[in-house]
Amino acid sequence: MWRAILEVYNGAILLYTAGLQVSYLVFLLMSFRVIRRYIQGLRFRNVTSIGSLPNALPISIVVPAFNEELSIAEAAMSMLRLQYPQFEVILVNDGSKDRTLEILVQTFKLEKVYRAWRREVNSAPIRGVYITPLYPNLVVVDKENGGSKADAVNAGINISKYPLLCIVDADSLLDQDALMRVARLYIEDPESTVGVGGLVRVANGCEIKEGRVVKVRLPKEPLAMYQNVEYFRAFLMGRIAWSAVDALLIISGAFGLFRRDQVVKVGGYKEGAIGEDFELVMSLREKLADEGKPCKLAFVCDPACWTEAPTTLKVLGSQRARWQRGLMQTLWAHRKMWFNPKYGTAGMLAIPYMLLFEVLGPVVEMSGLIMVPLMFALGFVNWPFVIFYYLLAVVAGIFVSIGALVLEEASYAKYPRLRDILRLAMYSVMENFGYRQLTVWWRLKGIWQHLTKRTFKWGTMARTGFGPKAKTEKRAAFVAEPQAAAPKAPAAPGPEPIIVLDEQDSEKFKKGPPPVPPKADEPK
Amino acid sequence: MFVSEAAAFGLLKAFILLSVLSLVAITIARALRGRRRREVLGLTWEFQDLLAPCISENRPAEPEAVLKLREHPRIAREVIASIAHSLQGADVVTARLIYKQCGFLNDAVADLRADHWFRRAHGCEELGDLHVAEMVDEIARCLKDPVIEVRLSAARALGTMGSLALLKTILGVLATPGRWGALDTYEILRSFGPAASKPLLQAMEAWSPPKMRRMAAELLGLMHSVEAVPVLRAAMKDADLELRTRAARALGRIGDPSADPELIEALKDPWWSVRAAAAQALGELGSVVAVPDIEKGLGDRSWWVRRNSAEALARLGSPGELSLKRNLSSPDRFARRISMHVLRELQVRQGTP
Repeated sequence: MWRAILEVYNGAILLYTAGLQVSYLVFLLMSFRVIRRYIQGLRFRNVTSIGSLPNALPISIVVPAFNEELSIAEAAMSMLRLQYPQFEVILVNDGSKDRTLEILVQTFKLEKVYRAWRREVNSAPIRGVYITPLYPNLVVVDKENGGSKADAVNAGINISKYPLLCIVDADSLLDQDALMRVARLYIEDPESTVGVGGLVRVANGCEIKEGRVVKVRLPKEPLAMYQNVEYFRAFLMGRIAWSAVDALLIISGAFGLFRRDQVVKVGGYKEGAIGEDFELVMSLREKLADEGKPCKLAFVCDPACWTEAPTTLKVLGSQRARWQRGLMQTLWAHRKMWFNPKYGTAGMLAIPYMLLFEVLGPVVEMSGLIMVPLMFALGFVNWPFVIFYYLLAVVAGIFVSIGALVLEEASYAKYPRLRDILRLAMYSVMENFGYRQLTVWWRLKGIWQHLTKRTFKWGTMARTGFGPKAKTEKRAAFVAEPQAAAPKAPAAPGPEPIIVLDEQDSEKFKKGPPPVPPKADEPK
Repeated sequence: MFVSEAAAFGLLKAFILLSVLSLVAITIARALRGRRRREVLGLTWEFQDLLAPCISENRPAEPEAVLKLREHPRIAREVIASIAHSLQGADVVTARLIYKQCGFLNDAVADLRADHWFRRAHGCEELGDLHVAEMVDEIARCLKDPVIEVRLSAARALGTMGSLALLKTILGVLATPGRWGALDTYEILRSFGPAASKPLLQAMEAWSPPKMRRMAAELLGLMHSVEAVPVLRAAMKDADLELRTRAARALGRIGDPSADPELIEALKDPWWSVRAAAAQALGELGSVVAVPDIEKGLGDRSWWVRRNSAEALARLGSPGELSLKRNLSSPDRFARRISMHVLRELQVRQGTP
């Protein structure tokens, strides 16, 4: 009896691992094809000509920031220097406890104004809106801490005025032409394109000057190196392949461009969502499919966003656990999409894949790590089986990672030195011995936290900023329950608000912006 | 469960071998790519030096030069086409002459009929750069190509060659549903210059497909075509609300004040998007006479109309500013609020506290 059960288990685990590796190989081949076609196509499309095009859709860049005093000024300057015909940069200070707002006020000579906006999506109260005569397209929003990145982004959405929204993390930098590259899809297919994601690369180790990556280098920290390899696999393989079959489910929160009207329709970023970026994409897919409208969510492989990867085990561990929790929470919230042909390839292919390999993955992998040697010791399996299993799990994994490197090399070849590529290859091998098992452990923790409904808390993250500055302890985001744990916001620094509101308006402002009058032909 | 030793080791070896091979391939590809780059660069300079005297003296290439160019046809074709791309008038004729002299025209024709889309697109581009008028029909056939890049390349080539007779066909192709957007259309039609106005005006006629009319309205605005003003004014009364919106935007861009009455009338349009576009256009036109009408938009039921009206008033100088200030004490709280916001922004931008 026990032997029969173990036989079935062995067969299943082998099949599962083989299935996972085969799926990676399929992604790899698809990505090769897509990237090759894309790069060839660029030869006949002058992307930078968007820069001279007066009717390119204007973009509101929303940058949520919490305790970003080290990098905020540089990040703002970097955003303001982007190449695009018309855009505004909305920096949302989410009740920072450090000098984030003060630095912005001083650097950009900000003045508090009472800007026109309306509450279209939920967010914590806004304390003030600042603009500057130096940069007419810069808006700084100071708000009370809302407990999540979602809340900060939502405040930015309320303030934004343009039809396209670009969400960028404050600790990320964009390539100068990134907006033009990512907006190209909207210009080509404005009716059905709802969201576009760009490539996220690890900025650790790169030489950065004036908010721009001037020399692409590899990180020195091993943890950041491992993440670099992971990012290659995730973005250059996974996202491209899913996008090719119109089943992209994740547009990274670090860099994504969305149609504002559709984001507003789904209520913006969901408060309480742990994986708010994943949740937004799923909501958009669900809503538009329900309405029978086209919903194109795509990934463009060349506009790069450079982000700072965590370099401590503690931060990385909590980040991975959070991702796993976010994944499970969102998939469960959208369970009506599971295996539902109404939602196309997303419902029939991508979600089942997520459930099978992303949700169950850590459980199966950990059970394999424990059970296979155990069964070998008990004589249930022979040693070629053990080798065969690890071969599938490890060597095929190495091959896939190296395949992703080949993909990078054949497409953008961002790393100019051969030794960088060889170093990446070395880490592709090394990640299988220790790092991968750690990520499995972190993800298992995430599953446990999700199942036990443990209160979610965002971790802290040591940031160095983009300049040669001292390390400081700061949080990656916020506290779990929106209002409960939100710290009392400090008084806004900088000049006193010049405008004096009349009492009626002042009262309403405290409660939030005025509702839009319920009249007939309001833009839908 | 038992697995045979040979199978396990076989697979292990295969994966290790593939991984090592991939790394070797990267290394070799890097070396080859660098070498090829240097080689292409060297040949490009050499060919440019070879062609420069012929172009400047407007004469065909010497037989030795032709032989040399034919040794590396792909690079030579690229070089001649890129030279032609940057030239005008008689110099392009000389480049074309050398191109034909080398027998590259047949290669380009073969490219236009090739199975691979990249070659077709490339062929169109090259023939367009060289203004090969006898190939217009061949290129026009590519406007119906299933691959977007080929159609785009063909349209660009025809644009470069100034094939006005085909402009309407191009517009027809661009206006078909699919991935064609205003960017490509604008980019291509811009190459026709002011001459494109006439076919665009024809495309605005009532019997044209709605999508073509909308695109034409938008393009006429982008081209600041003053002669389009009467047609766009008429379009402001069209039943198609999208056309009305685009016509309003176009009139604002063109900046002809004669469009004031239609735009003022459009401020009463039942559709918010038309009202918002009209308010914005009046601001761009600097229509001080429209201040009272725009002012009514401050209390509009649509937020965008309110916002655009307030911003338009802010652009109209002191009469507009006065109107905004007047509305600070308006009984309509929405008008009051939007006026306050925009006035404040205006003050900050002007640097006046």
